[in-house]
Amino acid sequence: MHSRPGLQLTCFSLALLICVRAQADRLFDGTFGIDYNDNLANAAKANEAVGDAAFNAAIHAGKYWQITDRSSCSATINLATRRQIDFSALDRSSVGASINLQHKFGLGSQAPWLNIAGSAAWDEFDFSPRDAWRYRGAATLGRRFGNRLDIQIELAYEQTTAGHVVDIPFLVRRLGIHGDAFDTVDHSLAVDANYALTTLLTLSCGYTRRSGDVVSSVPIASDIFKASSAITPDPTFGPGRFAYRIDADTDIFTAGLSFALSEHAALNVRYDRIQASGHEQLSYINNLVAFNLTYAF
Amino acid sequence: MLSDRTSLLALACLTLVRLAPAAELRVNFKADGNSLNDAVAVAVPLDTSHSPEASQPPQATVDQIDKEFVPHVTVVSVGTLVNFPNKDQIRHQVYSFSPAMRFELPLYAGIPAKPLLLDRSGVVTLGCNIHDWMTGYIFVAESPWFAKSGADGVAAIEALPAGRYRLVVWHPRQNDVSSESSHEFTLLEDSKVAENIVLTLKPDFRPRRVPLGGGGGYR
Ligand SMILES: [Cu+2]
Repeated sequence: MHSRPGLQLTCFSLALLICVRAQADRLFDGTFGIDYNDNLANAAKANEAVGDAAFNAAIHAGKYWQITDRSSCSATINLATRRQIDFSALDRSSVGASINLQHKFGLGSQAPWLNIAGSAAWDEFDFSPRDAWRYRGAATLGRRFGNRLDIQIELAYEQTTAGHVVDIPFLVRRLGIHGDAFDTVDHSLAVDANYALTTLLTLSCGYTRRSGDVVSSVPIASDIFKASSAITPDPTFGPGRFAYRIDADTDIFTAGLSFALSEHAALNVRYDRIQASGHEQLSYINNLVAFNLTYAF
Repeated sequence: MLSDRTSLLALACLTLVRLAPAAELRVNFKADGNSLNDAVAVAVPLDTSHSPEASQPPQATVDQIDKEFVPHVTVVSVGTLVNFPNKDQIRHQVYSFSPAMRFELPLYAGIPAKPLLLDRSGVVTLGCNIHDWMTGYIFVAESPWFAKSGADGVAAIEALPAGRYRLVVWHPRQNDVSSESSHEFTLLEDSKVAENIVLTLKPDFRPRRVPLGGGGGYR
């Protein structure tokens, strides 16, 4: 029955989009791609790391309203699906909605702008204890510098709240450890820059500093047990593994290239290096490579 | 009776027009070995007595269709009234920072109430404050004898009175530091003169319409 929250959210979003119609423009874009993560389990030890590739597809559909000369707002329904090659427990479908408010401080393509965004999504996994509501709020300040460069700074808050309560043994609970390992909270500060190398090819670089919960799925061990604030059995990557929620500081370095195929389509490649370090010198690294094709109507 | 006299007068005028010794200037634009579209040629008379008298200011139109300015390049002469009809179902906000005409139309749908009078020569670069990728150009010529090249690279200025002229050429992507380049030429009565102009172009780095990465933005 856990698909009901997603259904409710879709109905609410549809009603919202139908109600507010005046002078609206439509928003519709779709993305299809493949990515590879060399440490899906977020394991600190190299022999516990597992890598896998996944196909993913997403659609954003909604409306855009220009409220005044300088302010606009938009609302979209977001649908996404993800299919892993090996670890099907991570196969995911999500349905969500987002609202954006944008203000431009002046006239022209180089005027700075501020965007306030809020979104909620229901993620449903093949392994149901991972099912969760995901909420995100972000404030982004950006502007273009000249014809080729644009820079954005984003402050974001993200929370996932698992849809199911997992029972853990009473003795473990007595130690102050909870079973809600998939309930996480984090906040982050990101700086992103895009530079047009040619009229068709854009280079993107970014750095994100994220503080908050990460989930590591590894076999039982005393160091990670001491560092964790929640624990739950997690057979996603094989038997005998547990999901540990750890408070960590994460540095994310990204680099990407986007090639415009037309006014509406682009081919993108992106690399993320994620370095997380938590208590008890627990640290892990992910390398993530993603290719995708985006079409925006 | 009146209509007969009017017809005769019209015939006489037409004959005069046909007999008037007019010349033609054909400018062939090329860039990187290919025919160059959207290049502007203006014949500026060096003998000022040539300027024709217009009873009403000329009018021109720059449409907005599918979130683009159509045409991308428009040529008008000084004193032209320009309309900016919005053919999209959404609102645009057209502006320019160009010294030849600084303006900002309020957010609008349909046709703005008043056309814009372009009373200074030069290039007016158009933008839309809602859709940053929208870029268009109006070349305001100091002479009524102008033409814009088509896909074949040819800009033909017809019905030019004989005399000495300065040829001004311009393209939105021309690499020249000065926005116009020019040279002088003389037209004899009933002559046809061809000029070949080769321009070097710079890349067009306007903001991209297609979103970067995962999409989700307004386009
Ligand atoms: Cu616009």
